[in-house]
Amino acid sequence: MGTLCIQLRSGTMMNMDTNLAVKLARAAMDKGHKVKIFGYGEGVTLIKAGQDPKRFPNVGKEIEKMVEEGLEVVVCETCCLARGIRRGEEIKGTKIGSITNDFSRMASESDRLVTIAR
Amino acid sequence: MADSLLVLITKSPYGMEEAFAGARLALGGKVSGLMDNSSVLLIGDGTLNALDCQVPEAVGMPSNREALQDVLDLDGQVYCVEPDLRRRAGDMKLLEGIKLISWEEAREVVKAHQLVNTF
Amino acid sequence: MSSTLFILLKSPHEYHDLDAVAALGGDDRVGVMLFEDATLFPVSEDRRDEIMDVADEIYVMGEDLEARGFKGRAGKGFQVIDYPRAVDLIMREYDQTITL
Repeated sequence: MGTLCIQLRSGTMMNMDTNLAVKLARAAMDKGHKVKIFGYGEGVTLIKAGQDPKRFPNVGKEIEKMVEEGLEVVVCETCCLARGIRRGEEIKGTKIGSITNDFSRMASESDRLVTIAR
Repeated sequence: MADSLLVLITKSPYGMEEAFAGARLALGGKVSGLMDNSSVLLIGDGTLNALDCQVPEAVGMPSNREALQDVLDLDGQVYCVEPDLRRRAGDMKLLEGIKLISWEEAREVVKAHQLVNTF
Repeated sequence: MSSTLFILLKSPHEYHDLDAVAALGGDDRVGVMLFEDATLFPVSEDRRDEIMDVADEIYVMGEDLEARGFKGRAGKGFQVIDYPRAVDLIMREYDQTITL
């Protein structure tokens, strides 16, 4: 089994990109692969706790479950600060980190990288 | 496991954050020591990031030119597909250190990296 | 021979850079995986042939096609897939993925 890194750069309610990332991650985990998601740019909104999109799928809740099952989720701190998202506002088990320390490590530990962005 | 990452920049500077973010990511890979083989390949509208005469101050944005210069300063490679650039900018001057390449060479650059991250 | 799986997300009416798929793919094995609005490529009369020309294999995410009302209408040359199949294509069947 391998390791898949997904870099997500679309916001949770911008389009269906986040849903795509989460579904791909879920399917890969179900097949026994390790999965890492790095949120960059608008993609950092993925880890915001308390998402309540009413009639749309709640990716925040899905992420919470998947993190408990071994999914690694890290987002870029600079991008978070730019959007007013601060430490303590993230979903439990996800991390606000950096490109240099976290994305580079996540990519180096991966066999495949999928960019999900517009 | 991967030790090489290609940042493929397809977007022009200043219309959106993408190209700047890509250059910073390539820089992060070099700085981390984990992705020492981090390079940048400019194609399509992304080739406009290579122009030396950018004036980001005109729109109050951080400089994509400087972001690429930072990658070059750390001995990172920045490649630019020549036919795409010429179609968009003629023979305008490029940032020093950027390598102009053909599509055939661009395919070799892609193959020389395990992971490709598009911006 | 190396192989590249290109991932497209945008509608055929919005995305006009298929030349980049051909240029980056060259003579190697080229797969294209269509998600979201890009699943409209096979049912777009004026773009369908163009995408078939640049790829050896084309995969269409079935649920995205179905959601848009085109279930069963992808036609010959387009393989309708689900997420588990997408994972196998990414992890096992192609050397690299490039999103365009």
